[in-house]
Amino acid sequence: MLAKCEDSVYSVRVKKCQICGKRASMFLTQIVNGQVSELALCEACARAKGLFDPQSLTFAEKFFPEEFKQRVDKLVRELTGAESPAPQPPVMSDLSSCPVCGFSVEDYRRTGHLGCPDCYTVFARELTPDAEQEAEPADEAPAVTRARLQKEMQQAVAREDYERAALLRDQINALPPADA
Amino acid sequence: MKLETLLSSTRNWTPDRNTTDGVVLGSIVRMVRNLPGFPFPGWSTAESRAAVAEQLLPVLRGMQGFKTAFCSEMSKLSYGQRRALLTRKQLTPCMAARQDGCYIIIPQRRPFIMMVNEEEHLVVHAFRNGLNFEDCVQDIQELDDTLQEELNFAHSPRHGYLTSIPAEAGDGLQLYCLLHLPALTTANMMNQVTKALEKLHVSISPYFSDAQDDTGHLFVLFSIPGPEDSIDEMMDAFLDVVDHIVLREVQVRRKLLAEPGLHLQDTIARAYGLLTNCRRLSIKELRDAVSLLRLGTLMGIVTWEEEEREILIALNQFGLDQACEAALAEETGDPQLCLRRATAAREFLNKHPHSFSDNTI
Repeated sequence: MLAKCEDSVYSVRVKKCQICGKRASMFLTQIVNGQVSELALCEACARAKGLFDPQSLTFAEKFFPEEFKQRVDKLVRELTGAESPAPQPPVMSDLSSCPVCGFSVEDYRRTGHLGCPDCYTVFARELTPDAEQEAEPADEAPAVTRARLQKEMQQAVAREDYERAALLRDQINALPPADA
Repeated sequence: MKLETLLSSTRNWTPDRNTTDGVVLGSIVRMVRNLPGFPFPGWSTAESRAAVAEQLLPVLRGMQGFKTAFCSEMSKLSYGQRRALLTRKQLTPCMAARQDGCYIIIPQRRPFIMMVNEEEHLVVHAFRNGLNFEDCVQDIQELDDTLQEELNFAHSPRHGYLTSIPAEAGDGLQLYCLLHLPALTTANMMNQVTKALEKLHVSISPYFSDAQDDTGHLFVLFSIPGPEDSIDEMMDAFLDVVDHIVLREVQVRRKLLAEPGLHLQDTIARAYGLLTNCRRLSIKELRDAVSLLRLGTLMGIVTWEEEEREILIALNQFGLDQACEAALAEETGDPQLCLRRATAAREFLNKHPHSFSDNTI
């Protein structure tokens, strides 16, 4: 799907990068519902768009073809203005993806991996189908859980990780009242 | 510490002669930990990996015995240097493929290897010679206690320490054992062993490669952690498996030695002849010949003036050094390497007085 053209001898028409106008070396042709979208980028622009982070790309291609396709789709849409297929409805209505890392339940089903430690809470129903949600074991009192989560929330705020802090705040609010 | 110093320093994979008949070369315990709030390395961006490294590196490098450790970002290591570290089990195959934001730390005087942003945020290997998981586990638990004074790791009361693969969450510990199995390999029994192990939550792979490359007759046995297994349960089950493999290897050695066809004696004698007379030597030939020479030593076919333990260490070191040199030279494609390797083998045998005392002739 994605090819790097090193040799121009066989290339009759030299394409230009659709971002900076320099000579393109990375080409992508995508056919969706019979509609052809072409993308041409120079290596620098492709790298700047995050397509060639050597680690995440390899990982994405190997394990997360859907995620990789979404990234490429988004880029194609930005550059060509083409209509993209309608997004698929989420598999789980309330917990389809992790708010911290963006990992989806489909990613987990396909790879057996999780995206971040918070995925254990977000995908609790998927990981332990018997449990409605991640319940703390009986040996940890709610007050202890509350204190631990509050400490983690303060740490998240200190490092300006507000997404995680919000997730922890929601978990604290979901706990039974302290005087119960 | 520089990489050259690290690669030239002795790494004593000393075989455990007393309890395992020289079959077990070393024990490794792997500990994995993750920081809360960051994506796992396989799903992270360069910025996220850098943020994880920024939190971990000052703590790791500030620990006792780590101030002068070898520390490098993976992107600074060449292909050959990575291969050299891989041959010494100072790097994992997963880490060897990493680049920016991923770091390796190897102290000179403490038995640890630390990897930042490997498959998990922090991976620590504690190693010991021979069969010694108790000390490995103790070392790693002490290290974990020290780290937890300054770091908060992702932990859930339900799952234990959280890992990128949910099935591996729990204690976050895994056991590895380095085995020398020349008799089972020579007798073509490794497939049987591999299939039997699959049923026991244990896996085995060749030391030098993930493929079917069993050169050197060296293997890595590793436990596959289950979600409910504690480290003690896992260790008991794992040691049982190691005992069975050692027993089977020793039985096959004796059986091969007693065979009237003298196949084992012939194989060892040919390996000895190759090392003493060759003028060109490939790394595969060297690995196999050194392995068979070790087997000959353990079975009393080759006798040395030095103590058996010392010569076994020297043979291991020689094999590893040559594998390292081959890995480093792979980038340059040095055509003289085969010649130098043959010379080094002859020099090794000249330097260590010995006799080939096969009483079958």
